[in-house]
Amino acid sequence: MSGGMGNALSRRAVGRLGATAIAAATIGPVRAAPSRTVDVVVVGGGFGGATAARYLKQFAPGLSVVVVEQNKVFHTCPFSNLVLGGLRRMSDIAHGYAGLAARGVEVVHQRVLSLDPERRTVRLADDSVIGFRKAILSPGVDMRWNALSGYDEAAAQAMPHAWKAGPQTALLRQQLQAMADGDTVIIAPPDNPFRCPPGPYERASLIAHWLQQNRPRSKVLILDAKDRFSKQGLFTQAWAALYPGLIEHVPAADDGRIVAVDAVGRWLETAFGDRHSAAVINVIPPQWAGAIARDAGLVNADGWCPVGPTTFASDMAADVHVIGDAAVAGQMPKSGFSANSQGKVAAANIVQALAGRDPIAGSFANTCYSLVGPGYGISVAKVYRSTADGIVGIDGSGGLSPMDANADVRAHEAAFAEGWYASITADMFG
Amino acid sequence: MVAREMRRRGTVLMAMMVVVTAAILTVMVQQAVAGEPTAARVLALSCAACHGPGGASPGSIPSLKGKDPVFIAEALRAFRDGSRPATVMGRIATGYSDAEIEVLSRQFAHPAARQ
Ligand SMILES: Cc1cc2nc3c(=O)[nH]c(=O)nc-3n(C[C@H](O)[C@H](O)[C@H](O)COP(=O)(O)OP(=O)(O)OC[C@H]3O[C@@H](n4cnc5c(N)ncnc54)[C@H](O)[C@@H]3O)c2cc1C
Ligand code: HEC
Repeated sequence: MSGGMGNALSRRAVGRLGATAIAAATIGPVRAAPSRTVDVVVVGGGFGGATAARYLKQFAPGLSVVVVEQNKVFHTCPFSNLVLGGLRRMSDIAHGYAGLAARGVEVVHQRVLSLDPERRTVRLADDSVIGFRKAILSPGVDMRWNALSGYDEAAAQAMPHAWKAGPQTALLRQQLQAMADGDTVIIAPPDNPFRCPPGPYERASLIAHWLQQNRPRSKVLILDAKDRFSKQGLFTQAWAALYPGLIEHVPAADDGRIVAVDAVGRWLETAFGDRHSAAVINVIPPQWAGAIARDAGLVNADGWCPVGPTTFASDMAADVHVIGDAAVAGQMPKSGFSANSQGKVAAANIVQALAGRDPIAGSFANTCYSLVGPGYGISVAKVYRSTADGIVGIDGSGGLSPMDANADVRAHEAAFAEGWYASITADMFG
Repeated sequence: MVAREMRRRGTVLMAMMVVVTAAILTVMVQQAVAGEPTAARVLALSCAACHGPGGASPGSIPSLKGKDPVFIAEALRAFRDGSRPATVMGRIATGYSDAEIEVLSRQFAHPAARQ
């Protein structure tokens, strides 16, 4: 670039000239050199990323850690079903980044447009470029638009997925409030793997709870791409007790699987050509790793990121680590708890690597609490380890809440679900 | 008789292994610079999602921070064998060996008591 013109040009001038004019006036590569290089760049300040950043600073206060997160406020998917059920407000699931900043983490609110694994740089939406020694990606999932024929971004405005918390949650809540008594709510969950396996069924429960109080003649219809689902026995038992006749689950074997969507006509079509319509339609489409991971070439044929079981180093690029929903983390489910647990182990091993020390085998846990109604909680849990065969569950550990438990046990689990939420959000943002 | 003897010998051997492993990990903890990752610390990281960062719980789950390691180890063993009723800790404690429980139990004590 002649005479340092690239640096001198104001961004407004760039806008006026347009990208082609700049490219034409440029001799040599357009790719800007990083304005600075930090020890660790974390892409995404959600369950995995916020946790990893906090623990990097805890393990090694001297490291420079930058979190690049596109939103100033993070709405947790956990407990967003409680918002749909009228048990929490949106503000109850909103979290800011002041706590991380107070711990010495630099939080930059920008979208990361690209990651260059060879140059070890990320480019942000404001065109700034940050170099890194190590990168951690925890971008979560993206909806796989049109994997379900007709379900694209525009369709999600008519039939919200609400599978990323925030505006989509608010939209689905508005639609519930606008429906008439006697109208039906359809929930259409995808096939595995997807974010939060028990989530659609917790959602069905809490929407049923709200209908029971506010639209007593309405029902929930679950059109499922699967035959079996997480905690099925427990959910089914709870539904019979709390919401008799209110929730109908149609498995794939009974033609529950949706293959096409018409957002304008407001109908869904099943594999065998049956059409369903309803006042409120919640389509939870197939998913894959967030765009940043896909664009950087970090995904396998299914759109997820293969990683090592101890350091979470990408199989595709050196010094780039992927955690959370985007990663293929052995037997661990895609949950906020898993992402938090992985974020700590990845942080520990990145600190080890930067200090020239050996990695430490990971120990992980996951527990997915589901609130089926006020004072009625159930859970599934497991402990995991890094092994030569990947991340595997410890035999004999974990399992489900007991069937047929009394009301006290369910009430305790509901209270502990709230305790879990308070603890994990403190662990991320506190 | 023989079987019982072997079992007893097995138990003694296991107890010795527990002590040795715990001692190795203790040495690792002692040598570690404050905050830096160690096998012992990594083992206890997942507890914080429920018990709060550093075991300080802001909500309804009991805090572990500052609790006596002997109490924590006994509680974990009792959860594991089912003698102490629990909603979820039975399912968590079954993921750890005796040696690991010893190590875990020290992670939430005041720094001076951790060794
Ligand atoms: C309805 C529902 C209920 C759930 N309930 C539970 C529960 O009870 N318990 C549980 O453990 N899990 C639950 N989950 C699952 C949980 O939300 C996810 O598993 C978890 O959020 C995954 O963490 P992550 O770090 O991978 O992604 P996220 O937490 O989604 O974080 C990703 C972050 O990256 C940011 N980002 C992405 N791309 C970019 C980019 N290019 N530039 C800048 N920023 C970017 C996003 O804005 C986002 O903040 C639930 C999910 C849903 C949908
Ligand atoms: C899924 C959430 C969860 C996780 C993960 C978890 N605990 Fe617990 N813990 C609880 C709950 C809830 C209780 C109360 C007993 C019960 O109902 O299970 C408890 C109780 C305890 C107690 C008894 C405390 C007292 O004062 O009586 C100890 C000790 C304990 N846990 C240790 C641990 C350790 C160590 C770990 C990590 C290896 C851990 N827990 C992981 C939820 C959790």
